[in-house]
Amino acid sequence: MIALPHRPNSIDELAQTIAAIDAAGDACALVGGATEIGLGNPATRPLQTIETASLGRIIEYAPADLTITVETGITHAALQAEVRKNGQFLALDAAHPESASIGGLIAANSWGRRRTKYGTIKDLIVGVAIVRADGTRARGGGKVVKNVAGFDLPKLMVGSLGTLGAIAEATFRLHPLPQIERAVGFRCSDHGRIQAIVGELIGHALEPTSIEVVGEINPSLLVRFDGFERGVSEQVDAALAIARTYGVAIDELDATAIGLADAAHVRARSGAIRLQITHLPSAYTSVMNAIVHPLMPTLDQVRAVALPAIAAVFVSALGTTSESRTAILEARAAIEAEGGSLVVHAQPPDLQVEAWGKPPPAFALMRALKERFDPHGTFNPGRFVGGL
Amino acid sequence: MDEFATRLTAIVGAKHAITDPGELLTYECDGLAGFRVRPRIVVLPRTTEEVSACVKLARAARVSIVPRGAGTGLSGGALPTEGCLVVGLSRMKDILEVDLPNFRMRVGPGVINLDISKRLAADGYYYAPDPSSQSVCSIGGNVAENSGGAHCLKYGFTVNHVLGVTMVLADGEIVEIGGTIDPLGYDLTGVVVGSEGLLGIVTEVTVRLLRRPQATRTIFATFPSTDEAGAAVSAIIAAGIVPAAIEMMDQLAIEAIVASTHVDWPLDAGAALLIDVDGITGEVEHTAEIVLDLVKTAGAIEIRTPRDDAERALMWKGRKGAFAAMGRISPNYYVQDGVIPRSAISTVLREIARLGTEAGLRVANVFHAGDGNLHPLVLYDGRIPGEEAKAEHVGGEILKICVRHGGSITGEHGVGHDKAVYMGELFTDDDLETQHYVRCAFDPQRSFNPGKVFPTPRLCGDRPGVYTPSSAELAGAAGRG
Repeated sequence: MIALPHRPNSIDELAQTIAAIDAAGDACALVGGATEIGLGNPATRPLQTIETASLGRIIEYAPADLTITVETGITHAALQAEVRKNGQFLALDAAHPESASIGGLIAANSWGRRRTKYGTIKDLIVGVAIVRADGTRARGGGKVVKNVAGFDLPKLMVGSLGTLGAIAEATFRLHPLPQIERAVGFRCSDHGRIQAIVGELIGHALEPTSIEVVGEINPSLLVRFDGFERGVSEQVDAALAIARTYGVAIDELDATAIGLADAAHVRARSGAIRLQITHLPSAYTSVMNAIVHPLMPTLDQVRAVALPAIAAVFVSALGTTSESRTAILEARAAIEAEGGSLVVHAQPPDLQVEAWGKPPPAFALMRALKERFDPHGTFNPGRFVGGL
Repeated sequence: MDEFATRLTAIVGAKHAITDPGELLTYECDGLAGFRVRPRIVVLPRTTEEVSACVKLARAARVSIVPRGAGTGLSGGALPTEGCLVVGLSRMKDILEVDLPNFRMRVGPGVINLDISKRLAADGYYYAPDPSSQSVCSIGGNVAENSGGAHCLKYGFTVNHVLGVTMVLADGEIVEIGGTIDPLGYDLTGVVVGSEGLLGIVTEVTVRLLRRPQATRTIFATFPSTDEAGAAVSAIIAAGIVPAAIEMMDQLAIEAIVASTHVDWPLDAGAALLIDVDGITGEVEHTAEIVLDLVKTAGAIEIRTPRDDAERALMWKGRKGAFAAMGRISPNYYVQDGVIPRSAISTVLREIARLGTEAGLRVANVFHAGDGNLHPLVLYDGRIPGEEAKAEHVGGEILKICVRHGGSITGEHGVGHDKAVYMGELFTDDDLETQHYVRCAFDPQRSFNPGKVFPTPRLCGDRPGVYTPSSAELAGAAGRG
């Protein structure tokens, strides 16, 4: 018999549900929109599902202070719709805003192209309320943008895959919506030239919203700027001037009409695979040529999107081949040797590549944290780094 | 000299192990000078290995360890505990690696904040967090306190600019934390930054470097009172502008700054704002014009823009020297650090003024208005019996006002010794117990900086309940260490 998912209607109900599961010696996972469900290893024990869809209240929105506190079952789109009324936004991309829950985005430390300018959830979250495995509710951080009282539970929760506690409420700082966004594209033909142009964009102290590289054989560089019209125009002109010195073909693009950014997030289709490779910024060209390119032909219907200013590459494919597994493991070994990582965000069940790679040197501390916060291994057992 | 001291001396050398009562005086307190405790011994190690060896010795001898940076902290985070070992990191001041292609720099914890940016000036890079004490405070202390500064309104705090650390744990083990793009696992760097020396001793820090902005415009404006200045702050934020900094000074603060520096700010103004907008040249010109308009509309009396970098630097020198300037107008002062939602600035400043009046003490305000981080300075005369206690009382009441308005008891100075008693105003017992889990994971015997941050002593004993091994553990894939 398949157990029905729990669907608490309040944080109190969530706490009761979790405490009961923990007391019974069972395990559970919170599920929002399931857009990041492919991240992590298979659980080592059967999981009861707790759906957070009914935990989507806006607890407090203070437009004048540019902060908002929400229950984390709220979708990315619902939060943005609310704050947009006041010309504000949460500076975080989600590939599937209509379904992605804020809690899921926090647990997965999900991010998109705008990270280049606005950072990750770690730069936006200022407070959190969690439910511990024993059902106790606990807060860290606060509701103001600047606060150093107590240990930083919010940061500890970001990217924890929900393995320390149930992330129930979160407070974020918001940003004013930019007046405009413009995009320019450069057809560059090789990654070395891309790296040089990106270096110049940064060297000229431009503040791009995002820098993406799409197309593997003839890569194009897509650079976007947002802000007030005057500053954006000036930056577009500066970027064009830099590109001209490198003799690349230029497309000025309508930022609102192109969906290339979303290629960074392949919809989690059955059988699809998505990898995230991170590297040192200076290693961009060699990583693309020596690690990403050899990997691509081993995957089916594959594309790669690189974010050189972040030093990350997303490789996604709709299918795999008999060579995929070996190629991924080789790519991981190569990137780990250079201090980077290869994380599997989604994969077909039969591929069975360990999701995270080599645990970091401080892993013993992480295990100690897990044992303190979740002594019975109730939350998502075995799914996180190193089997946490 | 006892055996403990002898063995520590053997590690760091006789010159760098301090037991002489006269020399120990320096280490009896930090920037919170009202509290003093003499440590048993102070060591000034030169390397990570020396720190590790000292920690191992202290642990074996069951001696508490208090890490210390430059000693400029204002919450007593480096206040010794009775009979403790103070590990001072001031000699670990080497710049270990400058890696401009990867926008990072690895430094010893004793490196002075401002020296990082000085080193990078010729290359056009800098390190963003700029606490007012940046010319004397060290990066290790900044990591401990998650230091902010005027420009964190736009650029964030220390935690947003530290990529990783090398740390000596309670058992003397040396561990690398973070240091790469998106390190795997829990965000240990995010927890270590701001942990106030309770989790271990940071012996190397990898900081993130930023390109200097193309342009910066500075605006100084005076107002009849803090009400109009507060309204200007709200209007700027509401206009969708994120300035690099918005600092407010009230009339008393202006008076002190004028008395101690060479700025020629008007003494009759009720309040002043010092605003930086920076970024792309065109954007800066555009936003500076909007800010000027908003400031005028809000009721500014006088608006000045510096003619050159020298004048701009002088304005900021005045602001950053404000705490020290208080000595010109009062024999003693008590620095407070609280946070409120920025929309509540005018209301809260009035409440603070009333508190001061009731207590018969003057309160000066000089603070980071853009993010609602107040620094009320309660002025008193320590020679008058009872005044110091009164000032401390006013300081405590100010924190309660901050909490009542949904804010925090500290925005950048830390909890330390000074504010541990106020943690209960902000957090429940369950909140504190949960935060304490972090400490227990790092330092179950609570060797590091005991008595700080947490209001009541907490143990890290085994909690009730039967431990269930995970299946990974049963399969031998993971163990308990």
